[in-house]
Parts: sequence; C-alpha cells; structure tokens
Amino acid sequence: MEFLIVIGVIAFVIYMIYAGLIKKKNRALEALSSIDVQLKKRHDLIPNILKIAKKFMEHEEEVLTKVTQMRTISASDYDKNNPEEVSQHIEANKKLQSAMMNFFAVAENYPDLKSQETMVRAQETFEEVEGHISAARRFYNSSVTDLKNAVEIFPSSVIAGMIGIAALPYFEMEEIEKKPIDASEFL
Amino acid sequence: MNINDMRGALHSFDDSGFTILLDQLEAKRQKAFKLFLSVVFASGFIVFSIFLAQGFTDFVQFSGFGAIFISTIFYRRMATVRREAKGELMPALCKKIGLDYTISPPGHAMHYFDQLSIIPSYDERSLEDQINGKVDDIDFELLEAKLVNVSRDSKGRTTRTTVFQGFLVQFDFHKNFNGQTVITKDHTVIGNFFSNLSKDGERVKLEDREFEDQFEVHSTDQVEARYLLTPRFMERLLSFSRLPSVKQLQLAFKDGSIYMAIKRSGNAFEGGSLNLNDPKLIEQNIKDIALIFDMVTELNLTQDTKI
Repeated sequence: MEFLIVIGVIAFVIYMIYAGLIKKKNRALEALSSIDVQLKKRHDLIPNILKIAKKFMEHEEEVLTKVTQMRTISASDYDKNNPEEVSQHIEANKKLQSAMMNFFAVAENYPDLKSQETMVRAQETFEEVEGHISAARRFYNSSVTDLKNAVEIFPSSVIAGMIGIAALPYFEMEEIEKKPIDASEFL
Repeated sequence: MNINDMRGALHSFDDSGFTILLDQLEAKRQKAFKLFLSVVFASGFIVFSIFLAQGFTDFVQFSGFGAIFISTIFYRRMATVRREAKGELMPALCKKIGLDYTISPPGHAMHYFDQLSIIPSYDERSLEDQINGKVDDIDFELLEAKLVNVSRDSKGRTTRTTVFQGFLVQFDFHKNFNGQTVITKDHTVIGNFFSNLSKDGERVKLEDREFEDQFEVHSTDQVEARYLLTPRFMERLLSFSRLPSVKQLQLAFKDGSIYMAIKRSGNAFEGGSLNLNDPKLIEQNIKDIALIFDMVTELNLTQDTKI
C-alpha cells in the first residue's frame, strides 16, 4: 500500500512538472504569436510609408530597396516550434527595424517629406506600432525566461529533455536600437 | 493655458480681494471656537458635578453622552465656517487657472473607482473638492475621498476605521488600449495571494525589479500592459510615488483613461489648523492644487507622449 502511495505521489509530481513545462512552452508560443501580430502591422504600414517617401526620395533607391528586401525576408513563414527558425525570424525582423531606422535617418534630409501630412500621420502610426512591438517583445522575453529556467533547472530539465522541449531564443534589441525611437526627430 | 502658465497664474494669485472676507470668517471661526470651548467646559463641569453627587450612575453616563453630542454640534459650527472659507477660496483659485471646482461632488463621480481594485472596500464614504478641467490638453477630474469601514463587535459596539483618505484622479491617457490593467501596492507573497483573488486578468511580471518590489500588476492583456507600462513610465511612477505628498499610489488603465488613487495624510484644501486669514492658508491650497501639475509632469502625461 505504502509503495503505491509513493508511486502515486511521484507520478503526480512528474505530471505537475510536465504540465508546467507545457504551459510555459504554450505561453512562449502565445507571446511569439502576439509579436507576429504586431510585426504584421509594421509590414502592412511600410508600403504606405515607402509610397509617400518615393516621391521625395528618388535618389535614395538603395535605402528604399533595402527596406523592401528586408520586409519580404521578414515576412517569410517559419516553424514556431523550431528554435532555429524562430531565431532566423527574429534576426530578419531586427534587420528590418535597422533598415527602417536608416530610412528615417536619411529622410531627415528631405524637409518637403517632413511637412507632408500623410507622412506625419503614417509616422505617428509607425511609432505606435513600434510601441506595441516593443511591448510584445517584452512579453515574449519574459515568457522565454520562464521556459528557459524550467528547461535548464533540475528536475524539470530531465522531463523537458525526455519530451523534447527546448528553450526559444530571446528577442533582444541591438545596443544601437535600445535608444527609444522618436521618428519625429528624423522627419 | 499650458502647465507653466497655470503654475505661474496660481503662484501669482492676488488674494487682496479675499482679505476682508477671510478676516470676517476668521472672526466668526474664533467666536465659534470660543463658544465650543465654553460648551465643552460647561457640559464637562455639569457631568463632573453629577458624578461627584451620584457616583458613576446610568444618569452620569447618559449626561456624558449628551455632553459629547452637544459639543459635537458646536464643533461642527467651526467646521462649517472653515468650509465656507473653502467654498469662497477654492472656486476662485481654480477659476484663475481655468479649472472648475465643486465642493460636494455627486456620488457617481467615483463609479469607476468602485469597479477597479485600486481602493479598499468600504462601508461609508464622503466625497468633496471635485476639480476638473484640462492641464496641457489632458482632461482630468480629481476628487477628495474619505472611505470608512464600519465593524461591529459581539457586544454591538461600532468601530469606524478610515481605510482611505486622499485623491481619486482620472486623466485621459493618450494611448489606444482596450483592456484593463491594474497596478496595486505589493503586499508580499501571502498578502498578494489573497488580494489577487478579487482581481481581473493575469499577473504581469515586469523587468523593473524596483517596480516589481513596490507594485503588483494585473491585466486582461499582457502585451497591452507592457505597452502602457514602458520602462520609462515605470520609472516615472516610482518617482511620483516617492513624492512627500504621496503616501501610497495605486492606479489602473481602463477605457482610455488612467485612474489613480493617491493616499495622503490629512484633509486637502483645508489649510490644516491654520487661521482662515493666515496667508499660509492660500499657500497650502495652492500646494495641494499643484499636485495635479506634479502628476502631469512627473508621469509625463502630455498628449504626444508615446513612451
């Protein structure tokens, strides 16, 4: 009888650890999806910004092309359960953000563009979308930390290894990007 | 009028028009005070005399309660004079900076605060001093509230405990959001466990250690909570909560507004124990009103703020 109780307790503990791991993994995937929702807003907004900018920035073909290329790459499909593909997806979006920052820096040289009402509105929306992306990124990183701790700390690390749960990569900002973006400074 | 103009106008308030009125009210208050003291001494003397004659009888107890009751009536006359002074002074001060003032706000003014978990539960409430208007294009409404819990012991004795005294403030928050995010004081592990039972949404774990030590955040939307509580905004909240005039801060975001419950010590806009014709009375009222500006500047609630 005692033996059965001990087995029962052990099975219950293992189940709780297993359930905790699955919860944390799903939480991280949910957070990753929420980033994608926000990134989609950015993707949808970029063509509008480029369309307005093209009229004024005819000589900046390279800058505009770079943004378009990065946008296409970052919009590629990926497997959310594959940490390597998630990492590539994150990297592509970081490059898109860098390309957009470069675009705004170059746009500073075009005062006519700065005074365009449609551009000002588009830029305000972009700024808001960036705020949402940043918030989603923080939620994702927080969920990844919880998952990472569970995957790396004993005894849950053993069960994570057995059922093949791996930590997802962080969505970290590069040093240069850590400064809050105020696009109005550039336009 | 921008915030600097408002500050300037408030500090250059010309009180000369109030001098005569405040002198008259102070004379009235002193008269009421003397009367109050006379009533206290007289009724105390009567009760004491009966006590000497009869000992501690039921009649003495009854007389004691009667003396307290009569003294309270006379004390209220003093309070009425003070309220009269406030009723003259505060509208003028608020008008000077383009704000509206109501001495007795309607009960529904705190409808939202009752729904959010940023004020403690209470049995009785008294509301006063409602100020509303715009500061730097931000619509706001402030009122002073005193919330009291009434408990009765097994012998039927009633105890009144003030569970909140301070400002309830609503500011328009110029960010788009749909959910509800509530930021309350951290009550450590066990306290949080019980207080979290009544809260909507999930707990939000934030990166700022100091903020996490001070506050507990719950939201119906994890991303939105972080969109509202940017690292800079968390720093601002911490800095605002450390102001000497702020004893405790709890807040919530809902329906495009930020709601704040700011615990303070003492009654605002009353001038404490100052005489009504003391120039410091107006200074004290100006300081109390200036807390509205501190909220806007410390929390940077201006319209174009996105971070």
